[in-house]
Amino acid sequence: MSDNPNQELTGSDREITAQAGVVNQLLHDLEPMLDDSQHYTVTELLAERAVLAAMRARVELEEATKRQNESSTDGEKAPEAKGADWQ
Amino acid sequence: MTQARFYEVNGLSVAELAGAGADFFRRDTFDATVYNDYYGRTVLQIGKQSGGRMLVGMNYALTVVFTSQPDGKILIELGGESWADKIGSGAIGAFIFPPLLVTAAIGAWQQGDLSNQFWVFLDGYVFQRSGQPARSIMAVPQYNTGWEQQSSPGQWPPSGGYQTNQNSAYSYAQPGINPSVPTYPTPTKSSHRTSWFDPTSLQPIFEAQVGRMASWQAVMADGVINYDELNAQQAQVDKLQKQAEEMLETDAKIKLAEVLTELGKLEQIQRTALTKGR
Repeated sequence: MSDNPNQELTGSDREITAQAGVVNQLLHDLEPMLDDSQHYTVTELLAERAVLAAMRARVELEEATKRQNESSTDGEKAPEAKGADWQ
Repeated sequence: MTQARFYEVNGLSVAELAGAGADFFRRDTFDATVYNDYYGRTVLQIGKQSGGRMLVGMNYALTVVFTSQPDGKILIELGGESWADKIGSGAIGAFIFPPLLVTAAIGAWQQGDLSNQFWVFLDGYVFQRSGQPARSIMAVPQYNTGWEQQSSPGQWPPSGGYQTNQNSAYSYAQPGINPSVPTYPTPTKSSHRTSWFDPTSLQPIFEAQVGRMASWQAVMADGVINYDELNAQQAQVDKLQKQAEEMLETDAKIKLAEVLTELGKLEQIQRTALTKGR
């Protein structure tokens, strides 16, 4: 992934795979650096962070779905409203 | 058969016992997962994904919950079902967690004899690591006290709803004369910890584990995630991050910071993909 923070994310498979590779490599680097108690705590951190990410994704998805539904509902109502005016 | 005991483990930590327990069952081809639950207890879940799972008819054949006691003992509870899955299905209030009430599951779990294996392992491991036999006492439930209704997140009673002023005699494990007690490897830097990578896919385990995490199951119990829950989870992550950073040497701290930064980018890309309806 580019280091340019202004680059727009596309969410493509390629982008995801590339960034997942970066993360995996860093995790591979970090894991052997930790003793047991550090490993335990960092594992807990990463696991709870994964939960947080899943929670955020779910909330965003629900909101996007809601927006989409509202948008399509508005689109369906518009002709009816116009028709009412014609009468 | 006893399903809950107060153990004197001669100074061994809950983290070590849970990790060693996970390793012990993994060597016997079981799946084993260790995590801290919503109440700060350490949970070890043991099961099989294939034939064993079909045999016992449940996702996990044995769940072990470790709770540190103020007097240094550890309360160890064994349940025969995936309690966490029960939470996920919305039974949170009813199922947290008088373990002896899971009668239907206990039958299947006893068939597998996993509980006996666990106690034998624990006695043997404590003896080998500390040079002294573990002492334990049966935990007697406090029935009809209403504790299960009174407890709320963060206020789980350490005694887990068991009587703590019992007069029963402690029993001593005698692994030295029990031929079924195997030899356990002395822990090394990596011997009793869960790898971050799935041995088959070589991918990190964290995303795959989300559904099993107590924090996820707790927020999903009502099927809705609100902003208070998001903020609480963020606070939990911040707390763990601070705790981890305080423990790490400079090199590891820098590497962890890199991991978290790049992980943030990955999560952002994934959310973009998700909301674009790919």
